[in-house]
Amino acid sequence: MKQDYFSSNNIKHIDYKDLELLRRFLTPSARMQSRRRTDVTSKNQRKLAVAIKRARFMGLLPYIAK
Amino acid sequence: MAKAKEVVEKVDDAEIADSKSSIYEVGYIMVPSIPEENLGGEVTSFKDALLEKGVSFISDEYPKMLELAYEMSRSINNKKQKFSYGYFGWVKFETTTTSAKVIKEFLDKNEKLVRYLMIKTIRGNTMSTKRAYGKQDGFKRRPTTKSEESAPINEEVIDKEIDALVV
Repeated sequence: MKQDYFSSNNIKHIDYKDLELLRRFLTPSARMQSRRRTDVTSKNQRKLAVAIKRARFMGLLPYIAK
Repeated sequence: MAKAKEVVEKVDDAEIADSKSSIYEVGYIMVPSIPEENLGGEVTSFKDALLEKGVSFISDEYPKMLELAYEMSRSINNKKQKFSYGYFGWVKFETTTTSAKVIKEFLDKNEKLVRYLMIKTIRGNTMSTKRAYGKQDGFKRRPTTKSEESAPINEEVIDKEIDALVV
């Protein structure tokens, strides 16, 4: 049974500054995890992707980590 | 006559757009060359400039020195400069759509900023307050037991065991 992290923790808005939360959904090489791995709903996966991309743009998260 | 009607309609649309206010958030990275003691003054002048453009502040966070995840470049005074550090801060405010455009132009021209991000957001706090990942992940180390260390070591027994293994 899949459980959406954001729904279960009552998170309605994914903030790009919430780095601790965003890092949870990144691989060690800083790539976004697929929906198959994150187990979040497609709506939240899209919100998550936007937040991660915003954090990357602002230099808070890397595009790629070696 | 038809043209005059169109013009009137366009003016009405512009007025509607102007009266519609939204909540915006501007995240910014200030240049690291600003000394720590002058940062407060820079932030207040930045906020004052926003106030002049007709915003009403909701919340903000004072900029903090941050190591950027990658090197950024920005041309200041027609000279390309690279930055690995910067003061990251943000302000949340309410303003009209037309003044949002003016603010964007102001931010584009501001040479104290390495980069900025202007987004539409909500009035409330968007940071997730419940931080349960530490508990759920089970990354916490279990305390090591000291019972193994406290056991006395008998050398003769160990020697015998080694001899048995060798033979």
